[in-house]
Amino acid sequence: MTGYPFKTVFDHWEFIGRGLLVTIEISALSLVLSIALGLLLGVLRVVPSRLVRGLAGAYVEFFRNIPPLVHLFFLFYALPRIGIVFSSFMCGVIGLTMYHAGFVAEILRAGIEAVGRNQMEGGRALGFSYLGTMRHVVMPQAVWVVLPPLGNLFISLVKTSALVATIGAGDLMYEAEILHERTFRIFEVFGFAGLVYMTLSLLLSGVVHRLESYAQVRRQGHVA
Amino acid sequence: MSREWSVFLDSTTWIWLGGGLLVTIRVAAVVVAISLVTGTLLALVRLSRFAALRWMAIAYIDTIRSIPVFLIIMFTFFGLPGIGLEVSAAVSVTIALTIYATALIAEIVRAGIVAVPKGQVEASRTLGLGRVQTFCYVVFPQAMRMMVPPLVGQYIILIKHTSIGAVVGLDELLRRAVILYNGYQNPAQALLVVAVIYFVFLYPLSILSRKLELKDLRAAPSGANEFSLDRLKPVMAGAPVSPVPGR
Repeated sequence: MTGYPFKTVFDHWEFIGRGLLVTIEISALSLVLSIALGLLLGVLRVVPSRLVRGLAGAYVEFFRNIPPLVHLFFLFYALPRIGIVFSSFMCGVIGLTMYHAGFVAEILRAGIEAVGRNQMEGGRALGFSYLGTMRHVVMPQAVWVVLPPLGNLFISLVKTSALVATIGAGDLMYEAEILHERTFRIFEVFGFAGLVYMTLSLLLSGVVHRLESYAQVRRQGHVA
Repeated sequence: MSREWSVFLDSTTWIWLGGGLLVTIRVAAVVVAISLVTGTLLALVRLSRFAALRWMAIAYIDTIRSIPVFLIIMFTFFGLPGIGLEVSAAVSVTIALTIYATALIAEIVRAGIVAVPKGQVEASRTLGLGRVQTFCYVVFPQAMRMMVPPLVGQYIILIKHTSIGAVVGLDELLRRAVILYNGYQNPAQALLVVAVIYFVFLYPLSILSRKLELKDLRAAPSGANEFSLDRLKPVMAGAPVSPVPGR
């Protein structure tokens, strides 16, 4: 190391900057999509129909229990063989979404169950439809139960997003690898990338802590 | 049947993939064995009386928990040779995953120890047990029961993480699948088969983890270690009471 610490990285700051942007884009997109897909799956897992419940459950269990790298490789290497070609960025988004939607669904199911059957029965007795009760009675309460664990899932999603570097999606990890190959400064480059990931995680976990305390107040407000 | 699927009728394919699965299991098992010990030690440091030690443990745990495992694997894979340690991919991945698992297990162990009611420590100290004895015979056995479900969950994640080793050339299941489909040009089929192998292997573990969690909830409705009037009911009814509550 010559000069100041991380000089190599600052001399080529555009690598880390570019990668960081892509990491944030991929993570944010996957978060939104996996919440949407997870919401669908989570609701499907508590509907009265046994068949639909089973199918949604099968999806959740299958996709949660295989490594995310397998998802990414499948999307990137296998799908083009049958004529479906996504860019590596889109593969990253779709792969991370498929993997994390299962976790979102589990969190949502736990949240819906935590609200309790009484609320659902009460809503139905008052003449709401099933979906109406879900929308107006159960969900508004479940939101405050599920927000903190969802926040934690997002932190792990940001970390898992480093895997998209393996299919060349140009994220922070990928750019760090490129910079490492150019400069051979292992500790500086990966150390700095680590610091950037740490900053992201710590910022997010600060937000999650705020959410947790706020959610606690809201929950107690609802219980009373 | 097309060639893409028919390779899976060949026993050599399964021996090839099975060998990869064995490597996956072996790496995971070594990491589990080491990180249980190092994680417990780190948890003890984290709960130490000395603030300096405590802060060092917190710094380690929070750093490791907030960076991707992939980064740690790259770090050891390129970094160990960088400081003059030429090791195989298997060793560098094992070291990386151990570094990672130690931090996570330390948090699980700490949560387990903290969850044991203070009264247990006070009671055993009153009975004349030393600090170490109190920890070994009273606190830790109870903490262990609470640690098991999250530990199983953590190991499922760990086994999934071993697949990242494929990227740096660890000869495990996913890497062998990649080699297989590069030869037979059947990525969809090979990856599907590997996904099913992972699933068959990990799903029972995740069921186990959930079962253990539910059992724990049933076993300890509201602090099994707290004194409750319910425990006196058989006494009042004249029934013999076992000296160890809850056995």
